[in-house]
Order: sequence, then C-alpha cells, then structure tokens
Amino acid sequence: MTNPALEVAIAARTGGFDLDVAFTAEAGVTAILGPSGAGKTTLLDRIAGFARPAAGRVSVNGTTLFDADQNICVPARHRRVGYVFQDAQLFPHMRVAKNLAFGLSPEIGPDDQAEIVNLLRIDALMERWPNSLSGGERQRVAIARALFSAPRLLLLDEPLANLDPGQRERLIPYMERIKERSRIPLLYVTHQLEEALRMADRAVLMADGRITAAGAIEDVFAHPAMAAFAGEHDAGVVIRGTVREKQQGVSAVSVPGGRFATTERGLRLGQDVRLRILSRDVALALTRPEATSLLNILKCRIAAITSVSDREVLVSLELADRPTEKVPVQIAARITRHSAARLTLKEGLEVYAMIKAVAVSRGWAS
Amino acid sequence: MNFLSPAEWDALLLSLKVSVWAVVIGLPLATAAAWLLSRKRFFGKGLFNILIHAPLVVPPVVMGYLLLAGFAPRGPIGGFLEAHFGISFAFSWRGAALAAGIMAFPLMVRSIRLSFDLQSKRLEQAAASLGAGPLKIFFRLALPLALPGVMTGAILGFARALGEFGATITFVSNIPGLTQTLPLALYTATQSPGGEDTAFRLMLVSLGLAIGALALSEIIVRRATRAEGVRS
Repeated sequence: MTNPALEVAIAARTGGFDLDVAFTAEAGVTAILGPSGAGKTTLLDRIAGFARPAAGRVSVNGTTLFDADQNICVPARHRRVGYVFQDAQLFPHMRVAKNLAFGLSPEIGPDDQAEIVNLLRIDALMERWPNSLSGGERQRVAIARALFSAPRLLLLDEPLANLDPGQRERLIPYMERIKERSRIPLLYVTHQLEEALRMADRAVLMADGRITAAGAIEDVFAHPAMAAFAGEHDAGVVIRGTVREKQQGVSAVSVPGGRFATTERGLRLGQDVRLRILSRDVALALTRPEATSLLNILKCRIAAITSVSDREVLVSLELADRPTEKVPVQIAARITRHSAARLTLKEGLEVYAMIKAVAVSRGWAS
Repeated sequence: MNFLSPAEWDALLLSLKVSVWAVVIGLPLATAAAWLLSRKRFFGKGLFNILIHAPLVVPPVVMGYLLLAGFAPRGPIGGFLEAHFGISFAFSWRGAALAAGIMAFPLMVRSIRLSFDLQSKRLEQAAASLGAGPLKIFFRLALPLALPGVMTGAILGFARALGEFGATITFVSNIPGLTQTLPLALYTATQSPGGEDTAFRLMLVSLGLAIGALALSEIIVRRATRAEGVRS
C-alpha cells in the first residue's frame, strides 16, 4: 500500500471562522463541494501556502509541505502547487505568452509546452493582452500558466463560476481533457453538482469548515449530508452501472442489486455509465404496484431515515431487487413526514421504489 | 534669450537642478517607503508613517531649522558626512536639493502607495504559486503595475520641489548663484526697489513650469489609464 498522493490535515482559524479538515486524494480529480462560506477557498489557500494553518500536515507524494509539529512550512513559491483562481488573475501588463513564461519550469520542455498549448487551444492567443480575452479564454490561459510551472498538485477554485452558461459549456471539454491527461492530483472546488459529476471521481463535501462526507463521488452523493447541501431540487444519488439492453428508446442499466430503465440517448451496450437519480423523483409503496406506466419499480430495504426539514424526511434505500455479491447500490427518496408516518416506514422495512425512466439521467459517461 | 537676465537664468537653472536631483534621489526611496507602508507590517510602522508625512503638516521653517541643526557642518549628521564622505550640505545647492526632496517626499509616497494599495493580493499570490520570489514579484509585477503612480509622484514631487521656499531659505540661506532658487529669487526681487520687472518675469516662468508639470502629469495619467483599459 503506497501513501496517498495528497494528504491534508488542516486546522485554522481566521476571523472567527474555524476550519478543521482532514482528507486524502489520489492522482485524478477530487471535487471539493460545499456551499459558499464552507471554507473551500480558505482550505485551498492553506494548501497553497498563502497562509499558515494553526495545526496539521500537508504532504504531496511523500514531500512534506507543512507540518505544524515539526515546524515545517514550505513557502508558497517552493511548494510547486499550481493555483487557478476563480477570476484567472492573469498579469494584466503582460501578453499571454509572457504570462505563460512567467513561471515556466525547466521540467517543461518545448514538447510539453506545445502539448499544453494544444490541449487548451490557446496558440492563437499568444500575442493578446489578458483584458482582450473572453472569460473562458482567460481561464484556459490561467490553467496553462499553472501547468507550465510543472506543479505537483493543481488547485482549481471554481474556475467556471464567473462564466456565463455558454462559456461554461465550451470550457468543460477542456477541463475534461486536462483531467484525462494529468497524472497529478487535482482539487476542483465547486458548488455546482453537475460540474463535480462531470469532472471528479472522488469528492469531499464541506460545511461550516468541516468535512461532512468524503470518498468516491457516488458515495458522497448518496450521503445524507449531501441532501442538506444540494437542497430541494438537486439532492440525489449517483450510481455506476453497465448498459445491458436497448429497445425502443429505453436502455436498461444494471447496477449491483437492481436494474434501471433510462431514456438517456447515446448509450452503447456494455458501456459503463453514471446515472443520477434525484431524491424528489423517487416515490415509495409498501406493495408492488400493478398496472402502471412506471418502468422502474425496484424492491429496496430501508437503510436509514433522516430528517431534512420539519415537513420532509430522506429515506435511504438499499436495492434488493436482484441478487448481487457486490455491495448493493443505495438510492434515496425524499417524502413528506406525513407519508412516512402513514406507511409506518422504519429501518429494515422492505418497500418498492418507483421512478420514471425519464428521471434516470446520465451525469457523465466514464 | 534676452527674456531673462543672467542672474534670473542662474536662478532658473539652479531650481531645475535642485528639483531634478530631489526627485532622482527621492523617487526610489519614496517607492521603497510606499511599498513598505502598503505591503509590510513591522514594529514602528505608525511612527514611520508619521515621520514620512511630517513635511506636509510641519511648518517649512521648522523643517529648515531641523535640517540646519542636523546637517550643519558641526551637526550630528552633517559632521559625519563631512568627515567620512566629504559631502557638505550647508549653504550649497545640495542642501537646497535635500530640503526640496524632503518636502516633496510625502507627495511622492502618497501617490505611489495608492498604486500599490490598488493592486490585488491575489495577483502576487498567483506569482508566488508560480515560483516567483519577492524580488521577482516586486520588479515584474508590483513595480510595473504601480508605474502610473510612480510617474505621477515624480511630477508632483518635481513641482513641489520647484516651489520649495521656507525650508530652503532657513537651511541654506539665499545666496545668489549658489542657493538662490526661483522662489527665493522672486521673493528677493519683490523686496528690492526696482525689482518689479524681475519679479514679474520670474513669476511667469514659475507659473509656466508649474502648469506645464501639471499638464504633463495629466497626460501621463490619461495615457496610463488608457493603456490599462486595454490591458487590465
């Protein structure tokens, strides 16, 4: 067992705000999720070395960047931690080419430079001033500038947040290419679930300076803390499965413990996909309903019931529709307290989850 | 040029020499002070700030008196400089430049500091994350971005140095050809019978220089903001 690529344990206090987090990350993208004010940027700044935490440890690939006990605090300029800011922070008095050259590492040879420039399609922007670039172009240059410094770790602080939806849509493929090519850990801060789903394999969910859930993105999306963050409309789970059947515009995706019908287009037989099921789209019944238009009726066991508001509860369900040797997939249903009481739901009870095929959507194809 | 008499020319050239030196020596120091005040926290920063700004509020005659006490050949600083470097300020154009530089210093610092203050902290953090040390950050980022403020500071300081009167006359006296700058010559002319024409001409020259400097500073600021508008 090798050490994780990135180990973070940070306790810090700034202006009455308490940050206390610990997590690890591997090469690949880890989404840092959480509402505004959860401490995401505070965390990134401390990993980058812009401010010194009160206690903890940060190490990348076995190199210690910060250790309060051993009194080690490597200055930001020696950390080799790339940082892409929400608003790019390009140097306004330098053309794009100069911005890129500013932090060029000797490790990045001409071939690597060409590859990065190609990957982000910024070759035509070299002679431009930052002010003449669009928001998306600026972010692409900022990412390239960070990669030119040969970072051991790349921090991205809501890189799409200041872009309009169109620009965002155009930038995402570039981000995905960076994700596929990079062999270093990327921490991707966002409060957009869609973005996290498309970009990350793992996630850390934060609230009020603490970590409330961490792990594979499917697990984090299934965690009860996720419902509190995602809010009424976006709370749900992400499950990973394999496309097994296709007929008449409906595909069947099999997951441990069950099989889901979805109307998503463009699925190929045998393809591994992630599906997203929102908790508000899941209804419950005590017996298997007959004669219904619903394509998804799955037998489940109630794993937990958590309160979300004074009117609603979140019922976590473990699929028990088909036998499986793997850990069965969990989904969640958001229902009223009234219904939960009427059906006398409790942990361990077997129920039927009902979901329309159109409500089973693809988060991102892996 | 027959517009000015040789003595008036002397005063004008001396004034220009004194003011140029005041700015040439003062500007780098003012930039350093402005950067310290904008970026650093250190013990005694409040006192440092007050000392820099003192010439704005302390009567010029008092500043001249303090300079006289400190830099006279037998004063604590003057004696040291005289003994070790052979530099003397007393009753020379150097003393006039020193007085002008000190009186102009706070104006230069204020204008430059404003430019430093307006820069985003994130920009320097971005540079640090790209491996840049403090020197690289200062010379490639902070200073170039503060250039409009530095230029404005230079022109304001130059104009202030040109007009310096009280501290200069107290410190280095009013010796024609040696320490008699434009304002001092103008003052002398108004005090002497038959000096009205000289006074009038020197007044025109002073006015022209002051307005010219102001116009130049406006042009530079406008150019700089226009360039920034394209770039930042």
